[in-house]
Amino acid sequence: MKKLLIISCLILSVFSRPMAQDLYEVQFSDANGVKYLGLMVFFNDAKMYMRVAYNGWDESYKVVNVDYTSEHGTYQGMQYLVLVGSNPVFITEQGNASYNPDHLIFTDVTDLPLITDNPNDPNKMQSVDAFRTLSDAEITDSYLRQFYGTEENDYQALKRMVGIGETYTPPPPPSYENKKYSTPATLHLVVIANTAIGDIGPGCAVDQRNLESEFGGITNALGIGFQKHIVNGQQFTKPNVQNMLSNLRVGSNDIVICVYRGHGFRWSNQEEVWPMMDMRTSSYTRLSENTTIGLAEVYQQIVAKGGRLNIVLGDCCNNDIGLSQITNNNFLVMQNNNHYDPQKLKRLFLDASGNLLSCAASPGEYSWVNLANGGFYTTSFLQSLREEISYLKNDPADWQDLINNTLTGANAKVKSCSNCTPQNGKYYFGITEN
Amino acid sequence: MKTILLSSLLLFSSMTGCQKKLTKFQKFMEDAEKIAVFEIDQFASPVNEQDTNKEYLSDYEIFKPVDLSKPAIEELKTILGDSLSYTQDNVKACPFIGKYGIAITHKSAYIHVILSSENCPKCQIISSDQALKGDFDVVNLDLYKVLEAEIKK
Repeated sequence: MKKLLIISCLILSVFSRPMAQDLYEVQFSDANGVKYLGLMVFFNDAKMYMRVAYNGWDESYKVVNVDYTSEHGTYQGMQYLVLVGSNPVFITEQGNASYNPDHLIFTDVTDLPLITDNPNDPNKMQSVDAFRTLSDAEITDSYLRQFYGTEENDYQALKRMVGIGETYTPPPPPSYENKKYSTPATLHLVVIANTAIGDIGPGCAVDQRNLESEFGGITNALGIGFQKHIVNGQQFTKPNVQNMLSNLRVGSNDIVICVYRGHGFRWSNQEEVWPMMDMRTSSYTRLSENTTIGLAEVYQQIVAKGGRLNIVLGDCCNNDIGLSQITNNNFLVMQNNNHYDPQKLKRLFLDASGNLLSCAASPGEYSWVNLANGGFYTTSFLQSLREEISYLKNDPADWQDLINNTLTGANAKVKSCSNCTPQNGKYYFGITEN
Repeated sequence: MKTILLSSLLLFSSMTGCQKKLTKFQKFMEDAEKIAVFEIDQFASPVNEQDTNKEYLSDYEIFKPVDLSKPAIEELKTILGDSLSYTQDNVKACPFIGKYGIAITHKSAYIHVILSSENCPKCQIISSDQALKGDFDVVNLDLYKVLEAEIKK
């Protein structure tokens, strides 16, 4: 049962969770009885690798790095996650050895993932011997040394992440003493999520939980204030959003992260690029100016509050619904692993100022939602955020990279979805480093 | 690569006894005695606001019926009865705008398929069988082509 739960979580989480530094151990054997020990390191659903350690036929110790991408979906009623291996590179001396990349398949009909290095031969597919998530306590120096050389960046980064070894130096406490701002920062998380609507409600609820969990963890790591402003369920109405926004008190050093998760559209006679937010929870309510708000309008209201950093994201469609504007007189809470690099967090949230407005789709396009895992765009945003503040990332954290990766990530998810059409998000960027 | 892997997996699954099930919806479509199609309002009307002089299909006001030819009925049955015509996995975040209502009956049982406009191809399925109810994305857009062709006749 425990194995099944881990696998079910993985199926969901590889697609949905921003798993910047989640580590998994895979044990498997080949037909000759050779035992392999794999360490999988996940960044996001398009970027992961496995280090495979084994003793070769001549008893020499070998370590191979295999790159992975994932594809997730449903095939003839079966939920699957395929991790496709490629580009095997020997970390140890290769000698005369060669290595075919392994491919892993997780489904909801098998207890353990299946593995094969020959997808053309179904008879070569077999269950792995064991698969499990590694806790921080299990990631010791000697454990990592099975897979990494001491000079490798990821070896050093993983040691820093779990706080082990001589190379570890405790991160300095984040500084709030920014020359320009005298008060500590508070992060305001504004989530407007249509969790009650029948078609996309479950996906919106997943996104809301993930956003709350992620930013709760981030503010805790930074030691700054955290205030949630949530409009969801049956409270998801235009007046409630307006009330929430008018009551939002934002200090000059504060951060506002506003995410809209719901239906979006554009009127047939609309010139504004940014989508309209559909503030209805059922098809018994008519679309009108009383039930819609422009994403740009929300952005303007938030920026006018005068916070240091304002991020407004709209994960919704931006397609023409064939109506002209009606002027109306009448399997999971995200496990927060807290593997945040404090220096990168500080750079993103304490050193940056300005505004960012982004939406999930260009005019005329749909935005896609997976009901179990959340919106492609919001999921990609959280994955990109985790990647940006990861110990394993070598470059400085940067909002421009983060939003670019968000749009790229959403687009990649669309490409691996058989019934989806292209989704090309847009953004306005006005953030500078202080 | 993915297709090969999944085909292999299906072979593996079949060895472990995994079997595909025919959906109840498909069975209902096979047994359907009558299919009626209507042009409907864009939004549903609460029962207490409905006009007693007007007709409604699952709370959507019926504007007019659509006459269906026999071939069109067969095409509709094929499309509606195919579980691959809908999905609840990956769906669009666009608002539902009612356009067509399809009433399918078998004895005293019924299924109403409320179709959103092709700008946001979705459907709501309302049925006397609670297990069949739900909101779906329409994947097979031929459904619209069949209906549009009948209206243009």
